[in-house]
Amino acid sequence: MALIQEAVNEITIAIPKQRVDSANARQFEQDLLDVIKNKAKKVLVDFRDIDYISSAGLRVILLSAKTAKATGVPFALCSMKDKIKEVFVVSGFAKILSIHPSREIAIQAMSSN
Amino acid sequence: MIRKLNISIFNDLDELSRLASAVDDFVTAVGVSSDIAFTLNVCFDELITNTISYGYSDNLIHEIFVGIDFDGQAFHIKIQDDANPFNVFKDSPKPDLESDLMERPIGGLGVFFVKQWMNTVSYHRENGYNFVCLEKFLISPPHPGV
Repeated sequence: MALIQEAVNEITIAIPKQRVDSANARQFEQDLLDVIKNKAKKVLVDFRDIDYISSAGLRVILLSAKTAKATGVPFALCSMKDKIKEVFVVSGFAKILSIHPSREIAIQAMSSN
Repeated sequence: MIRKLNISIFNDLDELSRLASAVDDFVTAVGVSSDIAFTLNVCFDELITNTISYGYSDNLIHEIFVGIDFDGQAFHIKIQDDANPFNVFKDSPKPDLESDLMERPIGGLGVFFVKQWMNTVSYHRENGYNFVCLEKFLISPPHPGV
């Protein structure tokens, strides 16, 4: 799974593809941690293309959020489809992660702090 | 009219996307919302990933059977494997849903999702096989907080 990256201001935006499941979670973890550790000032994960995520994918997001916090990198998520958002709500992750409805709102929020 | 999907996959995580495609097609064919296909696929993924990752003591190829019956009101599901005996609903710890980010443990959510999203779950062992049975009704009360 190639993790597409874009940059806006100081924010690196990672755009994972379609499915994050137990078969590709390890690769996703490596790619996302690379983004966080390789001099990104702020990291936004854009879920616009994600149609499927299991707990293996959530695990990667939690690990990345912890790594980002430990290294002082602001970390947020945006543009989740309803079903994906439900996974974050049911797992209790919605309470501990910054989740924005759109990329524009996320960039605005992350640029102001 | 009952409609059925029967599929067998090998104990390889890459097989999960093949199963997911078959479930997507089946749910579309019976004319039900793709949201249900998503829910079913997350549950299959969680349960079968556990089985494939931790269930076998050898390195041999094993088959896992998934059967789904749809009777117009509910999906009745059976997952059968010859992995080591394991009652996933009894022996899995309850997840921590409250701690702060840095204290939140990584993992333990998979079985919780299954219990949360399916209307009934059960396990039994018979003739050397684990059987996990699930039911998902089309109309069910919404989860609190969602």
